[in-house]
Order: sequence, then C-alpha cells, then structure tokens
Amino acid sequence: MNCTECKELLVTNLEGLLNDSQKQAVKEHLDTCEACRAELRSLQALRERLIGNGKSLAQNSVEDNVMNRIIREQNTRLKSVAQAGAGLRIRRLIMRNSVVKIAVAAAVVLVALGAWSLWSGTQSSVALADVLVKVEQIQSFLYKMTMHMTGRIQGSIPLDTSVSGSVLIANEHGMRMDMSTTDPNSGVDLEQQMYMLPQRKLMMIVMPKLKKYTRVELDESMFAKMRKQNNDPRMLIRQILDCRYQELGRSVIDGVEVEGFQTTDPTYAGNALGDVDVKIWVDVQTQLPIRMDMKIQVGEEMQMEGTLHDFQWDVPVGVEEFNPVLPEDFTAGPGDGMKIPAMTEETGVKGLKLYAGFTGEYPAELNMMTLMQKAKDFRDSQTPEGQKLREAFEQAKTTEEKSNVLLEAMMPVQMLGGFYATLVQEQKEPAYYGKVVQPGDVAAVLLRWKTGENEYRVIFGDLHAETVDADTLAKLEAALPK
Amino acid sequence: MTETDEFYVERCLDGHPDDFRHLVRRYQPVLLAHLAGKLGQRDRAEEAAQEAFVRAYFNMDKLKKPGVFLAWLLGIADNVVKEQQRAELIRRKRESVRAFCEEASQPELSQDYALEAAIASLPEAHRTVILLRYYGGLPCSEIAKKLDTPLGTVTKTLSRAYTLLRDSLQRQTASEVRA
Repeated sequence: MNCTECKELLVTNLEGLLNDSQKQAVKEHLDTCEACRAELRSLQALRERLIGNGKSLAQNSVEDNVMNRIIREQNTRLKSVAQAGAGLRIRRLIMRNSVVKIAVAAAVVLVALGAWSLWSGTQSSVALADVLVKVEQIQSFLYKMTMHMTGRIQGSIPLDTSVSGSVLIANEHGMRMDMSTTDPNSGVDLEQQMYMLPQRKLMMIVMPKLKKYTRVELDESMFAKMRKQNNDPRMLIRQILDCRYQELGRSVIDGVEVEGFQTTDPTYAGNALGDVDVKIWVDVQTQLPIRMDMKIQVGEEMQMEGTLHDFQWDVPVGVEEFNPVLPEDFTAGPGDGMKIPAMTEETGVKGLKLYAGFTGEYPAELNMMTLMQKAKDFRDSQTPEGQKLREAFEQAKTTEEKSNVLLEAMMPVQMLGGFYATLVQEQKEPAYYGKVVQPGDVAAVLLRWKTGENEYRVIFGDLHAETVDADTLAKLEAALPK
Repeated sequence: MTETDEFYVERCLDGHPDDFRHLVRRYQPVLLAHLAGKLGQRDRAEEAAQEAFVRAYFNMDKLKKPGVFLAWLLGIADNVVKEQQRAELIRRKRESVRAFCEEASQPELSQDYALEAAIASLPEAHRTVILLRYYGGLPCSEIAKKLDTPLGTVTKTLSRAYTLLRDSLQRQTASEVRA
C-alpha cells in the first residue's frame, strides 16, 4: 500500500467501516509512514471537532421554543379566520382524515336512526295507540336537520362543525340524507349525500364537489333489522318503553300546541353515544312529532347539539331519489368497496382479539365512538401488529389506499362496538368487564349476554366462549376481580 | 426516535402536532450547523432555525414526498437566511450614519464559527454528508439509505469533505494570521 492509497482509506477507517484485510493493510502502512500518521492525527482532530460541535448544537433549546411558537401561532391562526390560509393545515387534516369524517357521519346517522326510534316510542297523554296507528300508515317522511358539533379531535384540534340537511325515509326504498357541512375554523365546506339502500345491501356516500363516492356493502342481517324496524314501529316502541323518560307538559311551538317528552337515558341509541339529552315535541292535534332537540356527548371529545324539525309525512317519493347516479368523472373515495360484516359473536370476538393484539389489553368500555377514537392510535402501537400496520401504511401509495389500510384495520373493532350496541338495543342483558379482565385469562368472564331463558353466552378472557345457566354465571361473575 | 421522518410528518398531518417535536430534536443540530455557517452569529442562527421549523410545520401539507423532509427543511432555512440578510442589509443602510458615531457591539459568534463557515462553503453533496453524519448523528450506512446511494460513494464523499474542510480551515487561519 502506498501513501495515496492509504490516505484515501483513513476517513473510512476512522468511521470503522474497513474490512479486516483493509484495516490490516492500513495499519501496516501507518507503522512505517510518519507522513500518513500525521495525516491521520489531523483527520482525527477534525473529526473530534465536528463531533464536539454537533453535540454542543444538540444541547440548544430550539425545541421548546419551536413547539411553543407552533402552539401559539396555531391558536392565533385558528382565531382569525380572515387570515389567508389560516385553516389550511387543518382543512387537509379533516379532508384527509377519513376516520374523523366517518366518525362524524356515523354520529349523524346514529342520531338520525335514534330519532326515528324515539319518536315512534313516545308514550303519553297524547294517546300512544293513536301515534302507533299514524305511524303504521305512514310510508315515507321527510325532516330537516341542523347540527352543531364542537369539541376537539385528538385532544388538540378544535372542532366547530355545522351540519344541515334533510333526511328522507321511505319504507320501500331506504333512507337518504342530504347534508352540507361547514367548519369556519378549517374552511371545510362539504356537500354529501348518504344513502342506505336495503334492496342493494349498500350504503353509499356521494360527495359531488369532490367528485368522490364511497360504496360500502352491508350485511343482509343489518338491513333485515332496519326493514323490520321501519315496517313495524311497535318493535321500537317496546324497546323505547324501557328508556326512562319524563313528560314535559304542554307548550306552543310555531303556533302549534305540543306536548313534550324528554329522555336522558344512555341506553338510547344502544349506548353507542355518551350522555344524551333528547326532547321531542308532539303536535297535540295530529299527534305526530314536529320537533326534536338534542344534546349529545359523542365519545369523549365531541359534543353535538341539534334540532330535527319540519317533519313532513307521506311525502311523495320518486324511485330516482334512491337511485344515485355517479357521473363518469367521479372516482372512488376512502373506504370504497369495503364490506361491513354482520355484527355477530364472531365479529365481536375478532374485534376483542385485534384490540388486545394492538394494545396488550381489552378496551375499558365498548362504546362505539370511544373504540373508534382508540383504534385511530393503533398506528402508534409498539407491538408487532402495530409494526405490520405501519408497514402496510407506508407501502400504500395514495391517500385513499392509506385510509383504506387504516379503515380495514379498525373495522373489526368498530364491529365490536356495533355488536355490543346491538346487544343493548335487543335487551339481551349484556355485561362487559374489560377493565378488570386481562387477555388470556381462561376463567374470567369478559363479556356476556342472555341468549334464552336461564341461558347466557359468555366470552372469557382467553376469548373462548361457553353457554352457561344463570347460577354458573353468577358464580363466575362473583369471582371477578373488583 | 427510531421512526422515519415520513412517519412523523404523517402524524403531524393527522393532527398530532406534538410529534413535530421529534423532527425538531432530530434535525436541530443539522439545521443549526447549516445556518450558523451562513449567518455567523449564534443567536441569529437559532432565530432562523426556529423560524424555519415553524414555517416547515405550517407548510407541511405542501411537502409532496415526506421522505425528503430534511432537504426541504434546509431549503426553507435558506429562504429564511436570504430574508434575514436582506433585512439586515436595509437595517445597516439605515444605521450607517449612526454607526459612525457608535462602537458596534461585537456579536456573539457561534462556538466554532470557523468550522461552521467551512461547512457552509462545502459543495452541497459534501455538506449534506457532513451534516447528516456529525450533526444528524446518522451512521454512514443510514446516510447511504437516505440518499439512495451506495455506501462506497458516501465514504468517498466523506473523505473528500474532510480534505475540503481542512483546506478551508487552513485558509481561514492563514488569512487571520495575515490580518
């Protein structure tokens, strides 16, 4: 090895990247060459100077200053809407973040469905039987909706979203919601139509401004239930009669004499939402509802206040209103093509397993909105499952593909929430002990519900299931840790 | 701190502003070294680094490829430097009369300004490798991955950067001695 060759390798040598034979050759040359030894010393000194300077700059406190400035500026930007581009980042957040969008849409749908069930189940001096008769005759109806959602997304992004629109329900065709959503903070301005089409087993969302659509296939059993409920309000009344409510007496709305009722029973909408406060006003003359006011806590971070009004009964419905046409230049949006499975024991167990896989524990409660919030953070999970999800996410190329990766991963957990809500709605006496039961516990009752006279289905901590009688269940539950 | 830049960029865009902290921590020394060489004064480099990070955060949705975060950040920093220099020039012109009467206070130089200035004068490819290696704390193999070049190229560039740095430092010393 000559000096030129040696000098070329000295930096690589300092970096520890030479192989054994190269290292040996350099060492042998250095042993005999003072000039190259001097060169090495000089390079080494420079290296130490670089490392020392790097360390001293790393001790700088830019970090806290930057983070403080970001928080301050974010707040001022949010306050002054007039400022150009103020909400740019968050607009993107909300537009991109289909999870939030779907959470909002889901909340609205839950409320709409809940509204449907509550009004049909009102019992009072406005004769219940008469309301029932009315309801049975009605084949279609329309109402207007205004909602205002506030709170925070993920604890930091303020939410101030208004939704207004109309909802059309027709026994023969399904449900159609036309909504326009605005958020002055983020500049979101979204028009969308949502369809529930039992005949096609399809839920469809069309966003004309964005030229996007999402079609989700729903399981037959869900629509079967919807049809049954829509066609036989007595089912719902029986269900609602178990909801605690109080009478508000007579009053006048828009010159119409009404009678009011109020419920704050959390089993309203199957525990899928948080605290509820719903008032309904029924026209004393026609004995049909004319207005509903609601205040609802959705998950931990979102509040929703709104009114359903301008009810119209037996409106003429054209087939084309339930036959969305997709222009050719519209493209599939996030979640398109997904299938939502039936909410059965199987999907419930799958959701529990998945949740435990990502987090190492069971969810503390099976509230659908809370589960959805938690599932959003699966991407941060330090478990092998979390790693896998991150890889899939990074491999996905488009925003749509990325959202779909997340949505697919979260689906079983949402279905778990749906399954539990179904058990509550069907009054199957469900009980859930995720707070005290660890994954893998063979003997501890994790989830149970009633399947028949003196017969309960029990999912244990290790996710095996058994059918037991009431005595056995009582013993099992007595043995649970407090 | 083992996540990719892309991961944290996506996190910020998904509404976790606090995760920007990881990117600041990761690139603060790189950015400071980059800026100190250009601006000379430590407090001005810090100020510019803060400004660059804040701008990067609020423009994150314009970053097309999250994988190139650092190059993009350095570009933003260069713009900040240009603006600061322009403002400084105007200020000096305005104050030039006063300056005759007052003794200009000596600005606090960065701890190793000579070295930072030498880095700033390197050709871009060499500068990037030096910044990533000693200020970003990445081993050569990681740098190769990040720049999508063979490891051999990285070590060669690094060797060459050493030579250039040393020459530049020697020239600086020589001119100081003459002065």
